[in-house]
Amino acid sequence: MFDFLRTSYDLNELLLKGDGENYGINVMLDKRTGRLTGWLSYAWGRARRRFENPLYRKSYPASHERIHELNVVGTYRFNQRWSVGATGVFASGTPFTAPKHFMLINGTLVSEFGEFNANRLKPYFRIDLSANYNFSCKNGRESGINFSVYNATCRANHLFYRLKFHKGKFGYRPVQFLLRILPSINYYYKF
Amino acid sequence: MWFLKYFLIPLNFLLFACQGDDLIDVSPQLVVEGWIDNGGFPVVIVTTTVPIRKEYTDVSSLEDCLVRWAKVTVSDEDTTVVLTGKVEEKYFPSYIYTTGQLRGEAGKCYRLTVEYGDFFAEAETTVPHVARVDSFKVEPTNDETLCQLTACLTDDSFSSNYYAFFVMENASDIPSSFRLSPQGIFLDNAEDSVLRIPVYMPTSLFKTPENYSRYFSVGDSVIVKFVNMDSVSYNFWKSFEDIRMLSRNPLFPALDNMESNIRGGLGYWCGYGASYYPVKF
Repeated sequence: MFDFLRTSYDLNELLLKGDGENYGINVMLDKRTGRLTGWLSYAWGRARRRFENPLYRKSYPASHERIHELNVVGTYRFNQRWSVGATGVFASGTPFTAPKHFMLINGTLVSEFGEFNANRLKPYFRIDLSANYNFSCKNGRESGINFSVYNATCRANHLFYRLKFHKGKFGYRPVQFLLRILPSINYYYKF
Repeated sequence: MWFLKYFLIPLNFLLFACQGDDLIDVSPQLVVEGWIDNGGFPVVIVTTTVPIRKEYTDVSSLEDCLVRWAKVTVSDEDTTVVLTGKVEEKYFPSYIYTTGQLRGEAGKCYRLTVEYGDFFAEAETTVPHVARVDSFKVEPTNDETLCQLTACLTDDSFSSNYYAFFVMENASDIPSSFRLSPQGIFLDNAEDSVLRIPVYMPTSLFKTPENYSRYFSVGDSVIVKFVNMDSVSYNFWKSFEDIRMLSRNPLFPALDNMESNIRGGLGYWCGYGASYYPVKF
């Protein structure tokens, strides 16, 4: 770290500064009665950014911008003991800056980047499933056990891309979470 | 059902039909790597850009980007020399253009032209005076099999103050030419005229993270090249170092592309005031 700081590197040079605006709409449907409860929401939004850097003269999408996002959450109660739930998230991919090509310089591969945030990751899609078993419900106190699976469809949602080297090979590869699916068991006590 | 028919299905198409992990497909460009040392012959490597590939591709396929049939000329104020192409295994790709008829001289300007098919690239550079290192210091690290190399030098007020360290391994199993030492590019704007600069082992396409260390192993034998350069060359190597350090870092990704003094292509044409130092650890 001291080597990094001691040379002519300046962290401020690595940050893009500027301003921007966010705008959008959100609609939501909520069902609170009956065996099946839950809600559904859809959001359309834009997040645009402008920078002081003269190399970035246009308005660009922010790196976290998801133009469309649909969330579906539902719970079905079979009886006093058992209930199941599901959450679905469908969203546009976020912007990223992809290289136009690589070049061989000084014995290594170097990226030549295209326009800032001109590319988008593939759409995000995730479904989580859960089942709850209630042990008891006395005096407003409730306890039970929860079984859940995060990303039940095992879909590989990409986080970003990077130039990877592996066993004498190279490729511009997407990076995702190591664990695509995450099962869990929880005990809960409400008081 | 109306909800499914009129809202969810169209929305699903909207979400999934419009966008993918889109990558730009652009036409190739000429990449020129060229340098001329004070007292040395010009060396030029000509390649084309490497297309983006999502699938893993063998590193040896990068040889396909090599340009073997370019017309490369270097000229000073008096003479123009057409460089000859030849196989040189220590470089990767293993083909260079060079000549024995023209040597770099301090203070002179050299013009490079590269013609290949529809490509035409040109650049100019000047060769500065040689800068020298006073001494090297080899120090132990926490790992007793590794050593830290530090260069000590006195800033010469006559030189341009733009410096870089390159390191070449004496390795027979992999291509090994002079590569920029990590953080080995520096601008001396300090008031203190005595500088202590760490020199690290460069990375390579042929080294995996498991068999790479920035420190030198006991028994290693390397040659350190210390160069003095002009501001244009410094700006190229500074941007190269920034890209090399940051382009694979998701927290601080590189924002700018590499600078280049090649008109009609990418890369560099640099003049160096170079001195060489063999170091055995």
